[in-house]
Amino acid sequence: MIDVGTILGLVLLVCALLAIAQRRLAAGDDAFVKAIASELPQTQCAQCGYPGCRPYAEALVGGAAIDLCPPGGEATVQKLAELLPHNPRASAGLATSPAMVARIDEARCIGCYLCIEACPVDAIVGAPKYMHTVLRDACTGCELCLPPCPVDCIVMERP
Amino acid sequence: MIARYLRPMQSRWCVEPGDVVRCGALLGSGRVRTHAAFTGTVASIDDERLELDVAGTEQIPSLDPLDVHSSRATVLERIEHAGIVGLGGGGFPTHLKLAEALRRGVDKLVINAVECEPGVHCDAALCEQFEPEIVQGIEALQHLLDAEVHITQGAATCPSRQAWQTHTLNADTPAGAERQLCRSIFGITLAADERPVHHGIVVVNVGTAHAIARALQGWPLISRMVTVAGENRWLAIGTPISSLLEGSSFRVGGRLSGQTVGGDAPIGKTTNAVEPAPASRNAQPCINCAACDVICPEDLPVAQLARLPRGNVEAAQRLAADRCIECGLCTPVCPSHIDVLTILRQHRHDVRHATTQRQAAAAAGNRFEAREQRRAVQSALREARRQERLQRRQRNG
Repeated sequence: MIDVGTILGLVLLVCALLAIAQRRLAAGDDAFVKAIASELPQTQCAQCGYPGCRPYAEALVGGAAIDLCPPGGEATVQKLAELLPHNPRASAGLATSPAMVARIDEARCIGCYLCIEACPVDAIVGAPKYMHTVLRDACTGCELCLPPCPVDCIVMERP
Repeated sequence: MIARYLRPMQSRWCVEPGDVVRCGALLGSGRVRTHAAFTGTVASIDDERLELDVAGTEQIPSLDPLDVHSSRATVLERIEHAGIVGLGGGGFPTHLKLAEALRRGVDKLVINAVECEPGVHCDAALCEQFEPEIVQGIEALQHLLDAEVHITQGAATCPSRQAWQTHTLNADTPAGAERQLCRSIFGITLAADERPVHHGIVVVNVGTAHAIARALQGWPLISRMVTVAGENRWLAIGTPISSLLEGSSFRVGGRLSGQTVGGDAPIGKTTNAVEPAPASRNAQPCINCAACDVICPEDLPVAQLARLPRGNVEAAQRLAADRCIECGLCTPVCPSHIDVLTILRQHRHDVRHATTQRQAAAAAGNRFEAREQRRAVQSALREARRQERLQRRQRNG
């Protein structure tokens, strides 16, 4: 008969192994998240329902649907399907739109700072009560600056 | 007559339909400025182009004259305000090129008057007719960059001074391309991702030097020399090609690297030559003769690239499609009449586009992470201050 001590010993051993394995796998996960994030377009637009591209990459490792990224479009879905063959698709097709950048109509800007707070990639420069402007090269076209603007002075246009 | 202007990348129109503009007025600003070369009314504007209903063709300088020996910043600003781009065909904004050259430091200024493509000899006419301006432009560049001047020329004779070194080259295509110039003049072979500026060299087309001299005299870039079916003419930018030549489609550029455009295309800033479009030839399947591989001056696997379906960007990148200099030698040597250059151009464009997108995405990702960290630190600080206040209040009673 196996005594209680042996069982306890085995349980402890398995727990220790699991703890080590988890730490190892977590390190691997981090690299995997990075690999997935590098396939995402980094617009940080949150259209996927997660607050940025890295958070979506983390959710993808946890099994989220692979077709939630409109800026990435079908090309990104293909790449993600290769990396994550077991993740589901949420719908049949994914609508994509052409790349746009934001522009602030500087004459109408009141310097409220709300768009600067909203921009996920620090692409808007300015200070409270001073005119703001969008750095076109840095803008990812996420449109997150549009809703907070109280005077609707931000327009999206082709780069 | 309707003059047309194409919107340069990262620029936007700054007039409205119905606006009456004088010659030299600013039509678009941003990375590159666009000026009206005519007096007239803005007829229509869309994302790609602006149409100007021309009322008068008389040209007047719209900027104040500037002394050649003004400060570097003033001269650079004037070059930007005149909307000058590389007139040799590249079309890269000259103020950005020179600013990078100043930032990195250059010791050699190459004035490129090697016209190496059949069907283009606008620079030769420019050298003949505008010697004082060209010399003034080169002196302005020399003053700006503080570099030794190298004049390179082919069949034409470029204006020169004793202190400048003149190199006369055998002007076979692609002798005038800047990578080839670096090799033939200085013996420097540029790596795939290098440009002349990485070796302290800046190459400026002679037409660009002339445009810089005119900008200092007060002229924005609103005219240029163009070879129209073999004849050199000084033309206003925006002139419809259909007013110069008969036909419904035209070839813009030289006989090797030119591109066919539609009947409503205008003379642009980089248009060095126009001709009636050649008759299209029926392409046959590739017979693997490798004539294109042999002739390619950049030693690219041209035949493989020509067979590669468009859209396979990763494969195109592996085959170094972005190193194509678009000289166009591969098309005429093809016995199957395949338009190899057009295919290579598409691959090159796709690869470059994908590369810039990848770099921009990585930068955006880094900025996002930096912002997240910054916000975490800020909220931790706020929380700490709140706790401190709370404790102080409890102590005080």
